[in-house]
Amino acid sequence: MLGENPYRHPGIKGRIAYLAHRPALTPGVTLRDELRFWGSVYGLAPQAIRQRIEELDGLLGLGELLPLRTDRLSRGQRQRAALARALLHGPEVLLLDEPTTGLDPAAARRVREAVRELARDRVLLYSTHNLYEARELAEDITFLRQGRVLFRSSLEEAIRLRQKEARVYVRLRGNAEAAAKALREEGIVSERSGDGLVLRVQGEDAIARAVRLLAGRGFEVLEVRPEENPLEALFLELEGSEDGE
Amino acid sequence: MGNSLKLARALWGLEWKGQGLKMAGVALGIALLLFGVTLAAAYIPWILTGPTRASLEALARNLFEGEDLGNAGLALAFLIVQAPLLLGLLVSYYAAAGLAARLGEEGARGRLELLLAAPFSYREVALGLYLYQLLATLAFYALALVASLGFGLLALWSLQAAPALPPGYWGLLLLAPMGLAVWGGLSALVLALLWPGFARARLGTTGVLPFIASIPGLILLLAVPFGPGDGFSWAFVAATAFGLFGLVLVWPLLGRIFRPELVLG
Repeated sequence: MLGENPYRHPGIKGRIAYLAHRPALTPGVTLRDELRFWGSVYGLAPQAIRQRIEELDGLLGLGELLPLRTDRLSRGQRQRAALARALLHGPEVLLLDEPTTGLDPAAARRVREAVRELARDRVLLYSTHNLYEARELAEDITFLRQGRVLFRSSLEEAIRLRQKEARVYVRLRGNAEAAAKALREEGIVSERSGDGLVLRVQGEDAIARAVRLLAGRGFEVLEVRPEENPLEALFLELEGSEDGE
Repeated sequence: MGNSLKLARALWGLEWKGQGLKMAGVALGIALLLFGVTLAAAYIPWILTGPTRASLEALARNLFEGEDLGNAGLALAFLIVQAPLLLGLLVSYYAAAGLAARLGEEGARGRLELLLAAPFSYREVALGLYLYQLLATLAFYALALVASLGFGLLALWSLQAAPALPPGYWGLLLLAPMGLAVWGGLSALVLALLWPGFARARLGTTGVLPFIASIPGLILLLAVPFGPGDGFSWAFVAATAFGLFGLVLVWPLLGRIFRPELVLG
């Protein structure tokens, strides 16, 4: 990590921060006291701690939480407080271990927004089981299985790999059966799903061609979206091929 | 060591804010209990056996240089002699059970993970937690001692009496708790690190730990009546020796036996 072994040179851990899926705040003390404690653990002077708390207030909106006891915060507020604690010493590398686990959708969105903001000027390793979240946030992805690296690439590359054989949902206004027949005549396989069709296509060009074809035949295309998350499909495929070995 | 002290100090500052009042309340409660027991022992005739009462009367005459203070003198002699011994026993237990519970709680709450991710070595984290518990134990002892002997001193002041105490007594009173707390904490730390499930399950307050931790305190209880001379000096030396023995035995091993992945489960 950062060119050093943290076991041999523990000082290097001062440039790294870790946010666990459990906020792990000290009960019975205020959030301000909690942040002061961690500031002193990381060797910050009291003045520097005060200044950092003000900066983090600007980023995460801590104002009303600071005088509250940590055991009286909601789950979302606790996670926000834990994120503030992780950022207190200005780390260059941030390790986030499932930070949105157990959060309601609004709180999870706030955490994701903060993560996007933080990733602008530091390295951010985000561990998650949620591959929709991974698709939304990641630039590079690594699949791990039992502590081993199963796959590693840029997000773009991973999606492209999977979209060679993509399932795409198309919602239509008009007769879906007739639309499926029109596609079949052009060699595009599809099946009915609700008020639309699921197409099996090879690559992005094939999707564009199918949409043009449907529009040309007078079908109104209302929505086009991937039927499956390409990351999820890729992971399952890799896992399946591992199990088959 | 510097980082461990820094961590212990920071933990003390935080925990005192969260738990300080509770700790002070417990110490005061114990002091009151001790004071109540000594009064009861002196004033309720059937509590002490004849020989025990006779030996306490002899002790009171010795402490107050022949002055007969009656039941009050008996109670005060009992309090002065027993307070450091009973509190010492409690110190051993508090240091051991407190540290085992702390390790268990830190792991369960998730703060241990964060401390291990802080810029300290694993050994420094273990020592920091240990030193924090040592500080908390000694603060607890100081509070309980000041409160319990405070009642005694007030009573002595009202009786206009001053006990003649040998130097060994002051050693026992002021320094022996350190040896006891060092031993108690180290025994808990070693057990928790060698068998992490022990700490994880927060079994610190039951089982073998209180026994191991309390050995020096029990020896002290026996040393004063049965040891050579006034017994105080002997007891003080024994407590210090236990503390030093624990340190010499365990200190170099700490870094090697701490396996955080097991403590965290």
